Amino acid sequence: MFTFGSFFLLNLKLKSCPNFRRALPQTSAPLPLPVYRSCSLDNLSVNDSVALSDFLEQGGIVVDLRNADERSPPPQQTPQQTNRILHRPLLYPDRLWPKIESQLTIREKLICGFPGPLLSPRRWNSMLYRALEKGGLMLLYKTILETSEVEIAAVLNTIVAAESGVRAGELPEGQGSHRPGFNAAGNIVRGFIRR
Amino acid sequence: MLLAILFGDSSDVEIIDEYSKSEALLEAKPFPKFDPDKLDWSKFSGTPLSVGVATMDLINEKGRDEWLYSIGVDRVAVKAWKARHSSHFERH
Repeated sequence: MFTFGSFFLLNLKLKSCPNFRRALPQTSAPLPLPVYRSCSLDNLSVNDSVALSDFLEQGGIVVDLRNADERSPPPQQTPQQTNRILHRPLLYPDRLWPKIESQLTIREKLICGFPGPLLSPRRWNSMLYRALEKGGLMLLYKTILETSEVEIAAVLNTIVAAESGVRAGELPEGQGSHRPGFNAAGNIVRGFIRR
Repeated sequence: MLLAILFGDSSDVEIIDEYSKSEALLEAKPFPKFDPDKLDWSKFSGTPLSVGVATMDLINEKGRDEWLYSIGVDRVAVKAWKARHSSHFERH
């Protein structure tokens, strides 16, 4: 049944967030699925913050895929319904850096005085940072796909369940069931990944 | 991108095209001061088309749906979702 609520969920616009948009390709007949994407919702205008709060009131949720290191300083405008903001980071340092380390050449390791972590942790870490920066977004995506499969599946399951309007008690463990008031009809996927 | 694959209603070209829109929508930011002790996240901003193509290749290599279901995506829930929107899929 078409309701004002469903119209609202499908037509959310946040002007202060430049790349906020529907997450699925908008073909001639877009899927009736209110999933959006954004690089960040940290610095919304007052109007957009109100619009987002209304969205959350209508049953929407925010899934934040960033880890703590990627987040901005404290947000200026924060929706009040924080129980509808789910933090589901996809990047874990304890998995990321061993993966990057495994891709270093012997020469690169020797330059850092292998075993670098013991002799010069700072120099070693810097080497890993530069290696990831050099590999860029593709290396980051590849590493996430290879090291965060469980988390990726959990996020996708959360979205499918949310769109279904599943109530909190019906969600399997790890899919948002510990979040009170979780009965989502729409979703915002916050930046897969950092866009 | 993974969502679009999961819901199976878009071609690779459509998915990649949508994925790369951020490149134009995001404003260029000034380069941060180099700090050797930190990861420079600005190196990962934007969404180059080439990365979209390469990521899609990587996922296709794994076998799109097969990979998603193998990592734990709920096949039954996705099937139920598609059934609820069957009229959309029948039209296209």
